[in-house]
Amino acid sequence: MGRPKRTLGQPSTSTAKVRVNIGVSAGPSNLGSSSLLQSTQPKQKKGASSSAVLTEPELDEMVISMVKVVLNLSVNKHPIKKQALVKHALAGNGRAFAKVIERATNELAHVYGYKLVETERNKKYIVVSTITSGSVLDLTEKYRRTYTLLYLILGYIFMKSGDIPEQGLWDYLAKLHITNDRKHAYFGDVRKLVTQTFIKQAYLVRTKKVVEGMNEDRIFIGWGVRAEHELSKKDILESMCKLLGRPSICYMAQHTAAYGPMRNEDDEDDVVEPTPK
Amino acid sequence: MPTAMPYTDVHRAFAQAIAHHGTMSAKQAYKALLAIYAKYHDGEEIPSEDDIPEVVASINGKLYRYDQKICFVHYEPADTDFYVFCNLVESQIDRIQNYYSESETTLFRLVLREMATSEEHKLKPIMCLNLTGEIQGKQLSKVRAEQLLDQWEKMGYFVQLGGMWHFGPKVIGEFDRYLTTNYPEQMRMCKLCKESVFYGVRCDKCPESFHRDCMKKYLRRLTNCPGCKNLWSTPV
Repeated sequence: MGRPKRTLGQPSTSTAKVRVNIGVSAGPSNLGSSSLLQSTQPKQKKGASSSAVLTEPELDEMVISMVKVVLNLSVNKHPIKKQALVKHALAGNGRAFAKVIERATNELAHVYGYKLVETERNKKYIVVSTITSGSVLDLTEKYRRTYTLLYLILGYIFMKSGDIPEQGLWDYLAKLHITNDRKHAYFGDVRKLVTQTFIKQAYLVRTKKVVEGMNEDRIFIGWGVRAEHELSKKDILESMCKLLGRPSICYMAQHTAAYGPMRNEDDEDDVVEPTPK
Repeated sequence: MPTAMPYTDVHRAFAQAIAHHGTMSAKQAYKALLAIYAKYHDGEEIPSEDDIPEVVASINGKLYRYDQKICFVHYEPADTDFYVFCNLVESQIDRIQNYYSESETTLFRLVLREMATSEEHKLKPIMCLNLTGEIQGKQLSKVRAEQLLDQWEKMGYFVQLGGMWHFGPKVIGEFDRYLTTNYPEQMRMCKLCKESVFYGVRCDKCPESFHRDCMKKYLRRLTNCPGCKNLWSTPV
């Protein structure tokens, strides 16, 4: 196989408007504070006892801490564990969590346009942007490339109406001249992105399924919880259809998944009969 | 505009964009703002470059609570203006992050140290890479160090000029106090404006440094070095 052509590496940006949601990036990589790790500051135990009722200033302090910790821990896009938030932002005070997280959620939305989403039943959180980028200028080049690849993958899974066997994904990418065995000129380490990065970031999930007639379980790849929250199915559908050159109604199952049912069966009764003259 | 702008998705999108990049040049920021206005602003107005400070001020009004600020940095070595997303405070809570490993943050501190203590605050690229040798504990490969330096350059922590690495606008925005506290002998203050001067103009008869712009203004009225009072002869 020859060198992958640059244009093939970026099909969707040329033929379809790839509206990649920024996701989170305003937990700026905190080199500033980390650089003071050398200091011998003892770990400060919060004075407020966990059993006493919190005063408003104490609560407010905790909300500020929570916002900061959420931002800092969201930079790598891995789901954040509730225990980590309680430990770092609340100094172990689990009782205050409900109140603090509610306020912090509001502040994140109001100030930054970030939505704090609970995944996995009160145990993990992800930060999702409610603002889609104004233009590609809002994103770095590297980010755009990485998430263009993701978009292509999520689009393919969506059009296939669900989980796909991992090998099927590699075959699809190979058709786009995106190989997984070496550094791709445009996308970088594709193998690492698909098998590690996107999984850790909850964009994709890998599951093992028992397949009829096969000895081993097969690995399937599907949309992760972050993808569900960050991406609009309508946008994905329309982008993929632009690539395929056919209107989205040609793909009924996917159209329904994105837009909802075309017509409710109950509506049949609402058809107006012409009144007889 | 007669009244203060309401805080809208324009502000949120702009804040996100600057935070995402870490640092944006004023021109870059303006182009981004144009597109953001087109998408999120209620109305037909097209912003001018002069509208940026007001948008930034509105955002900073909200960020203040979290010890964050979008700083305007006039970066003299490249004669370019930048907007930098800065974290201002370095307390216990700000130290919690999961993006860089301990070795990686150590490397960053070492580069700051070398740069601060070098004569003109600039380093050869190989110097930065060789600092990996000083890291205790988990080792960093030179390849990884190169990737990090590249990332940090993109975020505006460092700038390459004439083949040498310099402090970038993001270090100037975020690490001023850290550097003047840790390297008081080597960091200079401009006597004219009382701010730190990273890359300024030097008097040839005394060790004083001044901002180029500060000195330009000063020399319109006076001709002596504000430090040693001798005739100023360095070109500005």
